[in-house]
Amino acid sequence: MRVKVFPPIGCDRSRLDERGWMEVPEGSTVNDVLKLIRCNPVKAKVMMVSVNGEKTELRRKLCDGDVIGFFSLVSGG
Amino acid sequence: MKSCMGKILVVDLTAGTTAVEKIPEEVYEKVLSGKGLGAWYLYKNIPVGADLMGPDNILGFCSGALTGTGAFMTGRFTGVCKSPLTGGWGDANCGGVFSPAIKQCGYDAIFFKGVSEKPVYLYCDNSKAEIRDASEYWGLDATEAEARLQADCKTKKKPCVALIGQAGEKMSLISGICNEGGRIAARSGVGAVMGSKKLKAVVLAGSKPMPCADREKVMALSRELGRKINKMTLPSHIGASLALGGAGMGMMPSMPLDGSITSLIFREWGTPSNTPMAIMSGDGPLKNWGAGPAEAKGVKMALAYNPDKINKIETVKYHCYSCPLGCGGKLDIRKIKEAENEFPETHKPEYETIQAFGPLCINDDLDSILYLNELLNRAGMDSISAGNTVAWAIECYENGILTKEQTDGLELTWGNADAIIELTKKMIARDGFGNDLADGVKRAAAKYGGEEFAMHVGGQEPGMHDARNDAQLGVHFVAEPAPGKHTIGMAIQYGAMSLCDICSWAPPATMHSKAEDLEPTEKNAMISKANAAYSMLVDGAGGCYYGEMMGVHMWKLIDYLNAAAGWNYGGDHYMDIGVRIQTIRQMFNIKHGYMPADVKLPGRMAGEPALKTGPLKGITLKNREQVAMQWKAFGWDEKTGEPLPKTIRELGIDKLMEV
Repeated sequence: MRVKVFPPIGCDRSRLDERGWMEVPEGSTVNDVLKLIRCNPVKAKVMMVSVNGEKTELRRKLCDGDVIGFFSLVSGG
Repeated sequence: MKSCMGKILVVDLTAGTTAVEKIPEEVYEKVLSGKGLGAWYLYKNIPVGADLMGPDNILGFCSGALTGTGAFMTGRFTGVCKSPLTGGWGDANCGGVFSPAIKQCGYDAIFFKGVSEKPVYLYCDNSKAEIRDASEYWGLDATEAEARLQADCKTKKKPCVALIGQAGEKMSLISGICNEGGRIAARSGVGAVMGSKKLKAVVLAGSKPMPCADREKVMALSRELGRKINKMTLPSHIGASLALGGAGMGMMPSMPLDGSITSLIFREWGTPSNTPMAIMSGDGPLKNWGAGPAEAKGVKMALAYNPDKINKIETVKYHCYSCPLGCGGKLDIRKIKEAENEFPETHKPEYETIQAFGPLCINDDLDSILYLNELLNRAGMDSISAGNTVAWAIECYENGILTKEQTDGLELTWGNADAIIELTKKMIARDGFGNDLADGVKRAAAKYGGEEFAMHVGGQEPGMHDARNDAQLGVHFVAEPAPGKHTIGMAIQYGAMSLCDICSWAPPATMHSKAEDLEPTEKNAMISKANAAYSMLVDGAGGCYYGEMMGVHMWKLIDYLNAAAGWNYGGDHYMDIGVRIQTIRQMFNIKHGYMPADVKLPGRMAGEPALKTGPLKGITLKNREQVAMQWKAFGWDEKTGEPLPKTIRELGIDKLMEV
């Protein structure tokens, strides 16, 4: 299955395709993705890791098409 | 389109008549409603050579295609006209409650042509549209007039009112249209056109149902979005650390972001959250766009505008119609010296207002900003244009171009909050020196000199984001048919939207150095095109910029449109609608002789010369080349910006204009 990931600075993006999607095995969890992008779980929690815009447990099983994001600052308005 | 009313109201203020016109389905198919409907109607109906303040100019109030369907963050209306500030296309949009009120009267838009001899307002409900005498409201500020009109016109329902304050009445070219006691469609001088028509207000009291093809589906999408927004919370320390984050942002590369979580900042603090970040990152212009944080008391400014200080005096959150986020709020300002005995409250000032009257003028007095915010909201004056103009005056004064005699005795030094307030009052009243500044910085500089300090793009003062920090923004400042607007696109916004997941030709957002954003490449041109097209689509739907910023996976605009309209189109089809709207707006400029190639960034804003300190140190834009490439990407002539006949044909605009 495919999930979209917005890795924070300092993480490994090499497994992502150009559009930010990556293949992961069925049944993969958020934690599995964190390992694949080399993101420390503590860092992930501090940066409010989310799935589809919702706060998540690291053991949450992912579904095809899920979007895994982290908090970051943007300007605008 | 099953989410629209299919009709517009056309009011002739010279003849004193109203008429209902049906809009062919093809128009909605091609340009939706909102800004798209406005562009179509004005292109067809404003003749070449129309006097900007005369009867041939048309002022439109356009509701969005998704307004009233149950879709979240789609309650914005767009005011459209031929802009008296630039001479070209003009528009300004606004939240509040007015957009659904247009539809509840049975229309997608209300257009005004002609000029009334005496002050009037339009009253409209389910069964009638009447032009009424407004003499007793003329001269009142927008907040007071709105309250009185709501009381005087009340039936079973409190009516919704869009109106001008004193600035619009006096035809200040930087005046806007107000509603809800502090929301304002500020840009392009739309308020001046309303004032020129002697139209004080539009009062809407309809209660007609607003249609939607599949309301259940739309509501399901909104429930999903609302649940996500309500479940997320931010740690409380973030407000105080925004300045530090901003300093880090200045050094960050461009990268894809998850806009969904980031949008929560706006729920907590509104747009003032941006101020400390912008000051430190290089995003927010300082000292009339001429200095870095170190030269402009950056740290002091960032601390002065900590958004927690504003939240402390917030009495209630403010949500525009159909918004679960609620970036607005009302503030108790009775304890503020300047406002004592004058104003009890003000809407939370937007970042744009804070930056334009704060760091842009090296003013670190938050209380003065809160007071100015209320003054400008009541007068209906654009704080972006006014702040840029005041900053120009200060820099001219500091450099001896303006004397104390010319400024009516005002000591216009950097950071002199009292003088800034007095000058703003004089601009609103068109009093003395203020009269010369009430039409914006271009005209003020033409009279007094100091053109090198006059920051405007094609006649309009730019929004408070620095293109040297985000080169994509500079492209939009210039290439946008209503130049100087900051809400069309930025690289950082593009990174948050994931447009490549709905549009086959939108380039993926990648992690890269900001230096790459400066280059005139085809990829950057396509990013710019995608950003602008999506922005037009959002405006056609009546959508909100903060919906855009959430990204397409969170705020599902395409799903909303398909469900509400009863369509089943993909993202590419909708992005074509955005391209079409943008192209019609550009055609409007060409038709009226407002030539895109004449629109340029001021040298200072383009980094000519480059700043010597701060996060923008050494940056010079290649703006001209980047703009040309964006035009080419749109299928417009890369030298003149004129849409090519082939493009017009392929987009079906030629046939659409015959409808």
